[in-house]
Amino acid sequence: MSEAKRPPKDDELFTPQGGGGGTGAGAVGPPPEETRGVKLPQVTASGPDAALGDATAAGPADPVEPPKEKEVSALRLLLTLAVAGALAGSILVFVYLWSQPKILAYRAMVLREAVQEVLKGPAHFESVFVLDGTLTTEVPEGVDTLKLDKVFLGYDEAGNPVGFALEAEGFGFQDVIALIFGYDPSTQQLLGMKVLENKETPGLGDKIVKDTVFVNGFAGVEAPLVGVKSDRNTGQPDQVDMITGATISSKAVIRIINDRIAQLKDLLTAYQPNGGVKEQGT
Amino acid sequence: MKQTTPQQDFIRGIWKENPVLIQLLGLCPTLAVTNTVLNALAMAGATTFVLVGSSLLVSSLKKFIPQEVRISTYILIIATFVTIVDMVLQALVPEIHKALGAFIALIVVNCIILGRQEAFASKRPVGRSLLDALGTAVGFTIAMFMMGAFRELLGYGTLFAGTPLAWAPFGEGYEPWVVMISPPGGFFTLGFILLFLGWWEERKAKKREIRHWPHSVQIPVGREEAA
Repeated sequence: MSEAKRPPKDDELFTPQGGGGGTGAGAVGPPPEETRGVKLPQVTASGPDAALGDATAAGPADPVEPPKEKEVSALRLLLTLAVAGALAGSILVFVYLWSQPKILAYRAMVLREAVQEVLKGPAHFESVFVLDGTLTTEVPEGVDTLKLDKVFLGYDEAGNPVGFALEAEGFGFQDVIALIFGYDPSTQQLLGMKVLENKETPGLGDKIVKDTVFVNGFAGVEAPLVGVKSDRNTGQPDQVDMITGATISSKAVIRIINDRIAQLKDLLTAYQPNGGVKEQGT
Repeated sequence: MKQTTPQQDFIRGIWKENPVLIQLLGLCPTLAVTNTVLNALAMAGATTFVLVGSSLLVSSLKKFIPQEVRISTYILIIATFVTIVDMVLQALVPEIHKALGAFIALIVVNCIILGRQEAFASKRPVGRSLLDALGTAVGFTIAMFMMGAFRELLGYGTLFAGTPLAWAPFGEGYEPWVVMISPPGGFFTLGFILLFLGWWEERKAKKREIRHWPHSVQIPVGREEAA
């Protein structure tokens, strides 16, 4: 019995059964927690009678309280957490203030590059907002442009519009796919496509980003798109080759593009570009 | 409390008590973001920062933290470091941040970190806690690197892709094992690494036994010793 060999701890020496001295192997006291303040008859290995006898032999019936740990007040606990929380919060405020402009700048850069890419390098482009069912570059005072749906209109060197870059998103195989594509309303053709965000299966579904044949296959295709297997492509102007092993993701990309074009097609066709006076992102 | 030397505090976490390979802690990031070496090392770096920072802070504040609210305080400290890492990575290396995704935020619940606070930093001096945290972090990094290298090599046929060290040992014609970079590949890889380590330990123990026989019959002590 390993219990008996262990030297008795301070608090065990003062249990009622202990009687202030070693009473042998059988009478190792119960854990001190149980004796604190509760005067239940203690049953030990030597039986209840022996325990009682021991207790009376020890003289004073009141057990000596084992030295208690210092009780910490609830106020101190609250204060600790409150101070720690406040400190953590204020540190995070500073980190946030430092990092947020960089994060936003990066996002803007990614978007700018994507617009350049899907419009095949326009001389410049401008943001056109969807407001009350029309497209406009003039936003009235008090309207938050960040909350408006917007498209990008690209111009060539001579100031002629080359097409719109439309952001779109929808469900893919696992999660939302966000992409941007170039669209020319006059010919109803796509100019290019780029996936901005996806959580498709690595190695399979994420080919919608990495497979250059698929990505480049969108240029010059007529909307609405139809996805076909690459060996069944009959050369129709609206056919896009899908990726083997990423059928669902390919279909999702095509559906997202078609939905977005259907949503904005009339607006885009009717829009009269004002020549793109605003220089942006060149 | 067993007395240890500073060297032991540092060395222990690297191999003998490796947090991943021996203690089997922190398996979530080990399985989830080790599909390339770059991701694995970025994760290891982020975890190292949080672990070392939290250990330093917990160890230096241990007198002020009441026993009753210690876990909440540790979590608060860890969460603060994690949020800092999250924002800094997003600002400085957005591509890596994107690849690691939600797993950066999940460092908060990485039990390696909370485990070191509770088991070590909250009871030991600051210097020792720093050594212990660094050792554990190195151990974690080694494990992450092993996983990442194995999976990237088979799953993409490359090593260190995305860094200047990028290397494709199998050349262009390699047909990647896609399964190795998907979640099952993580389990396979970890399983095989643990299997190999177990076999190695057993072999070592047997050798030791043979060496000592017949002078004294030694019970082979394997990995229980480390635990």
